[in-house]
Amino acid sequence: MPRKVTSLVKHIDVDLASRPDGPAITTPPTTPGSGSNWLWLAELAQWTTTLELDLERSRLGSVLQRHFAEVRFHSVEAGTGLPFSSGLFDCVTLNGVIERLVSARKRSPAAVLQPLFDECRRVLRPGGCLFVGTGHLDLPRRQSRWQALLGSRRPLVVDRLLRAAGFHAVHVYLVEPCLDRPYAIIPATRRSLVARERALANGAGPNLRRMIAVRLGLAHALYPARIGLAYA
Amino acid sequence: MKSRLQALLQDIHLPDGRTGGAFDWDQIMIVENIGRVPAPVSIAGDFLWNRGFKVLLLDRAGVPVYICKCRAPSDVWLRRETEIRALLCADLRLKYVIPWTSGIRTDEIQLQISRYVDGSLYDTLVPTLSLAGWVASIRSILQGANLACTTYEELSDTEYGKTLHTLDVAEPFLKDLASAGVSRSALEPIEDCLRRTTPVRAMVQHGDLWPRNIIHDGESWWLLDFEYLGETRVPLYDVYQLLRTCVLLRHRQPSGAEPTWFDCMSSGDPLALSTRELVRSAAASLGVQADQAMGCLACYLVEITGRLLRRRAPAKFCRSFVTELEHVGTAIKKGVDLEAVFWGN
Repeated sequence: MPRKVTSLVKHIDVDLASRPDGPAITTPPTTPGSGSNWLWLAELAQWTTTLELDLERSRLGSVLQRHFAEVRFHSVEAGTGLPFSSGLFDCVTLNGVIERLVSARKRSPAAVLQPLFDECRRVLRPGGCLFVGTGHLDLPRRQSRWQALLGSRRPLVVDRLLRAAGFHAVHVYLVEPCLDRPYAIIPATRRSLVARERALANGAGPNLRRMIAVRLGLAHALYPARIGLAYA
Repeated sequence: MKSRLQALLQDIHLPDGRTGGAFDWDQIMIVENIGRVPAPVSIAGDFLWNRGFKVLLLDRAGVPVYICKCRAPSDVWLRRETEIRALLCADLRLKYVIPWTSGIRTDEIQLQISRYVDGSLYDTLVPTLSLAGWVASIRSILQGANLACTTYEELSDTEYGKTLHTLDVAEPFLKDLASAGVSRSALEPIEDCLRRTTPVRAMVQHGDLWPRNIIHDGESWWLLDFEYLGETRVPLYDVYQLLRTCVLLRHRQPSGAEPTWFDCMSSGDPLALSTRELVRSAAASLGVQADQAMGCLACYLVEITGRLLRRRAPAKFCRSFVTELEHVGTAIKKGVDLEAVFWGN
């Protein structure tokens, strides 16, 4: 292929043919910001104010500004108390935060997270939504499904803590391959997970390994990240 | 409370009598999520910048029933495709060719919803079909594509010219290819071939007819992705595109090495013989002579490569077309008779 043609196109050499259901976890051709599309699934009473919680710095600010009139950031590095009055926000986000928080505090997840979730519940308006993203934040290194099943850290599951904080509904989604660039966001219910396998089989032929994992309740081997949408 | 997606779907009346808002939270999933919506203004040089995500809607039993393409409202290609599909799927003749489709647009998002065809992508079937089965499938698919194209010509307001000269169509693309670095020694023989071709009757083409845009549900062959319908009116364009991609799929090596279509056709194996027969019969049904068909082939190779480069498609895609073009150009220069390779006797 002539050099000029190569140079014309090489900077966009995203591999459309790579599929997330192949023998190894591959990189889908996502563009930055695709991680914010969960907002289309969130059931919010209104879309005015949102609060991003993270450890050091804001990472979602620019994309949240496309959906909310007011976007605020607060660092939870120092403590889990939130310096805001009650019922102020329509949405609060914890994107890839809680695992780092637990790891930094060196205490049990419940001891660290329950006060934080209580605070999030307090600052949300009735009908507001807390987004909790856990598991792989960035694209994971290449690994086989079996390595993912046996070796990887599981996303932290905090549904019970969210309910204990008073959230009346928690909708859980499994995410592939990571929170920042999720190629698929699938409700974590059996009918949805089986439906996705059916759709994938239609597109790429049946994948016995994937189907077995879903049928055996091992879907986490296929989805390295997890989203919880908890409603106040 | 409804999500914004559910609220959008609420305004769409589905063919089963429901509205799109009647889906529970776990009957809605995001798949093929490759770009954020609302989209950023532009990511320079990234041909995917305005691509958003797809949504699969399930019935209560968990069976996929509808699929939505969700993209930026400024995506003119999706808007065009939605209009075309909505127009064509309402025509009874295309009831088993184009799935029901509708659409909606707001300031933030444009959404195309269509019936989910619960079948296999043709892409997965092509390597597994017997030669006779593959030939039969190609005939059915081309029949459906031809029906869709002629119906569109009937229904659309666009005035189409009656004839075209393949050199006129290919000329701007030839210039693009030359300036992108494709060797002139390969392009010149192709240009000569185009110059010798007599004018042909212009015919609307699907423009993107390849196995990943075709689904088989066990009975019908369903066609998807009508974004480029009518962009090209060179007869046999769809035929060549479908045959080339299928032949390459059937020749795919476990190593991943991919021969050119020209190499496959030169081999004269049973697949090449059947493909020539398909080219001849498709041309005959359109009233295209052998020399015109070879002009259309040269035009197809130039146009599709040029269009891919203009769309800044991934290098992986462009590379195989540039290689094909250079092989064909070099072969013509060496005196190889294209008719013998692609048409036969």
